[in-house]
Amino acid sequence: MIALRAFFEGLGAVLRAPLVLAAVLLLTLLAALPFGVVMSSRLQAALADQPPVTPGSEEIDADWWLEFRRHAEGLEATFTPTIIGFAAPLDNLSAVLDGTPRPWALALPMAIAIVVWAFLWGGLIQRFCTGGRRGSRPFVAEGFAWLPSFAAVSVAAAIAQLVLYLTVHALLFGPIFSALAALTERERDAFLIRLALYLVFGAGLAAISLMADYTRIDLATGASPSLGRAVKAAGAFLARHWAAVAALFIMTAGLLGMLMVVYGVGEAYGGSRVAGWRGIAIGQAFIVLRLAFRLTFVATETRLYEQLSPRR
Amino acid sequence: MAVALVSTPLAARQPAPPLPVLAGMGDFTTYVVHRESIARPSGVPLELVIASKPDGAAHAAAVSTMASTALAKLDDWLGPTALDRVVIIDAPWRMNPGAPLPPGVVVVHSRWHTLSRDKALERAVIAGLTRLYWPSVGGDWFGDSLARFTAGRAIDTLLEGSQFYSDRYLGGFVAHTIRSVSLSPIARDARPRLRRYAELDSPGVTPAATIAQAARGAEALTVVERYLGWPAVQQALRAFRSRHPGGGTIQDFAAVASEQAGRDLAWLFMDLFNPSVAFDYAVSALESNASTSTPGRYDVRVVLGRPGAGVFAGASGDTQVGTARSLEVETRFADGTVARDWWDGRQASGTLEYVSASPAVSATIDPGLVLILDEQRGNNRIAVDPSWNRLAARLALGWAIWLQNAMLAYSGIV
Repeated sequence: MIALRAFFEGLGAVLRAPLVLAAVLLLTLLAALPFGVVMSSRLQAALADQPPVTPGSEEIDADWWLEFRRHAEGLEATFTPTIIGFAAPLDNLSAVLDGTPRPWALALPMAIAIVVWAFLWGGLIQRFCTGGRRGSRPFVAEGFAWLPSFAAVSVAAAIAQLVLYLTVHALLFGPIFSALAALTERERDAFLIRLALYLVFGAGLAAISLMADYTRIDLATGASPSLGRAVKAAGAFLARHWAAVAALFIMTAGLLGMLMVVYGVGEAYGGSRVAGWRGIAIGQAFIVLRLAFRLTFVATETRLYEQLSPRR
Repeated sequence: MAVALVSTPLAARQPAPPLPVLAGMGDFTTYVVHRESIARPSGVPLELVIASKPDGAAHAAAVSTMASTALAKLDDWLGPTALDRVVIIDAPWRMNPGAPLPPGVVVVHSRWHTLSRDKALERAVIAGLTRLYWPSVGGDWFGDSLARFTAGRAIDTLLEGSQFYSDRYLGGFVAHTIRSVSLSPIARDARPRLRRYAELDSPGVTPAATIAQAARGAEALTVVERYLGWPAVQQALRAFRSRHPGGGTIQDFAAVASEQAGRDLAWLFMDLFNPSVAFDYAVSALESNASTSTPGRYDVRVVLGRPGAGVFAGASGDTQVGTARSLEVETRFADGTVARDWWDGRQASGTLEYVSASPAVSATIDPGLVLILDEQRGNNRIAVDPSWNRLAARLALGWAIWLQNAMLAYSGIV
């Protein structure tokens, strides 16, 4: 019940803060824009060298993609048909769950994203906590004030996740999956086994992520005077209230999952009608909704911490 | 002339022949066997046996339909297969043959999750059946090249407009098709088909070097097709297969093609099929200056080069250098006129000069993409003031959305 209450309070706080969502969207776009400009200039040159597109075609053909990928290096190597429509979030989800290595060229955009969110966490916690101050100045001030600490939390969490991938993930999806899948000839059964392993690994991913989240919340709400104590406090909070934390996480993640299903089904039945510029608009709208869910995570976790933390 | 094959199911009371034992794949005792007799113009029927998984009835129907259609097309192009029985086995998803398949046997893998626009199963059927027409003696890369080339063409012809780019996610179990990226454009689209389908890789044990050479050979045959045209190549394939039923060499094929074309085409089967030879033709410079000899007009100079070692000769060795029509050069001018010339690919460099009413805006070597093996297409064209391409901007926006998704995904777990 507490988790449910925190969920609705947090969701309500996000819905009452459309300007915050707009600001977060703007920052996200600005973070991606420089790389988009670089890619655009490369594509301008490549399309000038390639044969002309069939008149009236919404996209370019597969041969063009394959030929481009043959010579692509660095960031260009990520320009594949999987950037189109629902394939984009599906590709990223699959890469996270399967531990698919990404080109090193993506390290810079990911680092920028982590820094941006380390900044945003400070402003968002301040905004969504009970009695939090509104306005751009407090938001920005809190964001910069907590940036170094929150960036350190992100780096520590990234290292922990890397260790998780190199150990647990390698074990689960290497020898364990191979042994279990060999027990069945049916591909569907093998997929169900893999789904179960995704849940196991996902629990580990979520645990580290939640640890980082509540460490930030503990710090920003002033509950702990130092980063070290905040980490301990967050660990104690998770251990004591794991059921409520898990319930809240599942509720919010479940909504995000439903959003992805709607997107995927909509595209499957929409066919080519959701291609071209319409596809771009739909894709960006999905990003907006995804950002809204990200804010919901922050807001609901902040409210839950306020309700359950003994120091409040 | 198109060949139509008529298939009829064989009576269930007729004893089913045993399925072949394939190394590393277990037995198929639980499989459902479907048999058909396909009537051929030669009068000798072909027995088509399809062994499918117990819950794979839908896939078996798709395999049967595709097999009948593919056999008709391949018989039409290449002449009838010598086999009187073909066995197609829809094997479990993880099992692959540990050795080359016996004659007349094709192995495909239907997947649990597949979409109607993902034609991977159909491609596998076409590719597997095509290999039956090109017996490959161990290590024979040219036979493999012929099989890849013919199978790729058959796939594009039979699945024209119905197959789209697909990828598999979540461990390869979940398929997703991108409806807006077509794999087989309509026939009147003059752009080349690269046909790099994964299903064209030969099953069983094959040295990596042979695979690489065979893949190069298949692309070289595509260049031959773009240079000579499909009707000429198809006739050569049919004649070659008729004269060399057990498999022949590239020199044998060159001789057949030359005989069919009525001219020496040996040059076409040299550098193109050598994987260590890189092709690269380029437009090195494009200059437009006010003409000093003709007031009011422009002296246009197009400088061509051959940075790569590969030579696309366009003619046999005894033809005078500079006279062969190897590669087309297209020069466009500001007033809309277009000049088309030919350049002898045996030359390391060359110059085309024009006196025109307006300056040149672009020059392109091989605008029709005959030589698809050109390693660096970026230097094939010079445009004075390239126009802004709206499609490139939209594609970049699409990529930026993917990047935002990636940023959210990875920053969300730390």
